Amino acid sequence: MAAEQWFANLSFYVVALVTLASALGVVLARQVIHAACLLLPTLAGIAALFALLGGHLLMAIQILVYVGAINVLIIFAVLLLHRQVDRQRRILAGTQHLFAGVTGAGAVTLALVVGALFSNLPQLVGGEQGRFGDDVVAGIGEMFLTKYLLAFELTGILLLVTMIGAIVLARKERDQ
Amino acid sequence: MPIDDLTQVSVQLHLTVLAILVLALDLVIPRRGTWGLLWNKLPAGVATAGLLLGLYPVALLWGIGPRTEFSGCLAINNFVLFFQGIFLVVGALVILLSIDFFRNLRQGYNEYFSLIVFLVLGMTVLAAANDLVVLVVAFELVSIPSYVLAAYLRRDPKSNEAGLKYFLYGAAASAMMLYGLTIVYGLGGTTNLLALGEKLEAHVIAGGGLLAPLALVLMGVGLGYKIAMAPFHAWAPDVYEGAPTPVTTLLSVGPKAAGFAIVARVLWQLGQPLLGGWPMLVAILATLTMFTGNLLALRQTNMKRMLAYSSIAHAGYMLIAVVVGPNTEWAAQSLVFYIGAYVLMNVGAFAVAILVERNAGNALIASYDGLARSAPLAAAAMGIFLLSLTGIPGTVGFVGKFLLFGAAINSQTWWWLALVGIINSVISLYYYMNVVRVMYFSKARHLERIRWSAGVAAVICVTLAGTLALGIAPMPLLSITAHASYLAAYF
Repeated sequence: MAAEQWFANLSFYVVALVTLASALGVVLARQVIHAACLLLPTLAGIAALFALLGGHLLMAIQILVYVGAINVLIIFAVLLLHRQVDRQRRILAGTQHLFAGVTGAGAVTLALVVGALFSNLPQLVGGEQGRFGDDVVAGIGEMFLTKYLLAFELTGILLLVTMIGAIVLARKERDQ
Repeated sequence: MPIDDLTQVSVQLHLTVLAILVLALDLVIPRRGTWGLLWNKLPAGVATAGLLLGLYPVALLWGIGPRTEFSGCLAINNFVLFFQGIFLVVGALVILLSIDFFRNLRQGYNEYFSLIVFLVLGMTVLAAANDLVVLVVAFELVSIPSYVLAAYLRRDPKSNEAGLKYFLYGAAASAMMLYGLTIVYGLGGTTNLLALGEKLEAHVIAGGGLLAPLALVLMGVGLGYKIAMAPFHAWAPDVYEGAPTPVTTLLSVGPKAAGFAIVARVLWQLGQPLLGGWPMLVAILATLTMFTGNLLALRQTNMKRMLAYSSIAHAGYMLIAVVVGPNTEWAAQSLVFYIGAYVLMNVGAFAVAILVERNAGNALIASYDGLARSAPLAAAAMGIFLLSLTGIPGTVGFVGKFLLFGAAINSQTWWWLALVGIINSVISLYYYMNVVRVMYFSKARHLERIRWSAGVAAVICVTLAGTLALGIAPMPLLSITAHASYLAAYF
């Protein structure tokens, strides 16, 4: 038991360190592409923190939405900015060591996430699992349609408004 | 899902349907033929009528008694309902001001009115939010349309700058507020504002710690930004100057009023357990806000910038009521009364500013040279609005300030805030009267004649009538606000 507790603490500190260090990197990086790439371990680290707290569903959503979709989209957007393509390629070519570091950090994070998933760590650090029992997904789904119904519906409206706003500001002007 | 719950959000449902309806009108109205003349009037007309119609469900809910609905997510009481009524009126007035201003807009006409209705929707929820999650969503529902509206003149670099600045400041402030709310949730273990009050008390009794004051300060950053409180006011002058003037009008009254509703409710509920000395902290910030706004307004040459600093100063006056708030009933009443008065006089002043700006092509105070001769009615109206903003007897602004400073003196502890407020009113007299001097006593005559538009004229008439009538006979508004404050204590 003591060993497990020790491992739980260790994994928290490692994940926290990776997350904070890469978050600092995002802010301090001089090249946009570096910042975009460093965002990867930051977001993955947050997913790992969710996993350590027993929020497996949140972890999955965090990885699917933020790591898998939004961050990839950001990297694409940076790379596809026309005049910058060559420059970005050059920057990327010269920074294999950075990528090695990022990949390494990502691998450590991922290993911790997987480790946390298959151990009983969440119970040790006092997670939220107990609240919904085993069926976390059903529990969260039910909360959305009962206690947080209003916030849930409002979020839908918020997304609609954001979409309207983005279209209004970004579309081409029509000549009349 | 009991149908009873839905009647409690009838205002919000009404506004959602209205916003989508206004948006969809664009699809069904042809721009040629007999409808051609109507296409740009119709969405504005529907939005105005719809917003004013929203006062009916507000009136139905009025006076039933304070309660929370939707699993405690939404507080419904007269205090909140009064604010919701104000937002609906503000939305309608701003739309009337916008019709002529945006008549050359190439596209995005319906979207503009739709976004205003969505913004009003966000404000009605923000004022009523009784749950941290709803508070955050509503905060964004107010913020995001504001950013878009501030940047609406896409060919105007200043408008783009305003939108971007507002967005960057807003994003940072929202993030700060979220940190604060996270800590509050961590300390209290619930997101419900009412329950949080009790849970946090227990936390304080158990020893507390530095986290609670930190949470309060972080929340203050986010909410202080919304009401343009110093030292988080820096965005206001640039955004107010760059945004299209009807949008500036909306920003200077709408989100500010919504911010005050939630600031008052959060501080009166959570202030004491989070940081016992919060009234002193807010009192110092109120003093800072009043002096910053008024002193920086002195040297402005642009009308919109001057009114921006003036609106910062007014946030300072209103904060007096928040400080005094929890101790006396008078304070809650003075806050709601002042918000009502401020809406009338500030929208009025901006309406004249829009009129002059449309005719002169710029918003410089120099354009008001000799306005009394070229447009005596507009100049007289502007003079009265500015007198009211100063707080001269006979106007609604005087009654508002009388109540605010009266509440401060009445509380005994905070009498010195009334003194600060009076000193600041004297300072403000200088820059408000400078505009009157330019209009009436300047030898030059910048504009030969003024071309009026129906919407602006209507807004000036309504706000002028309100400013004068309620200044001379404030009883109707006093009795409404008395009801609004009587129930505020219970949430």
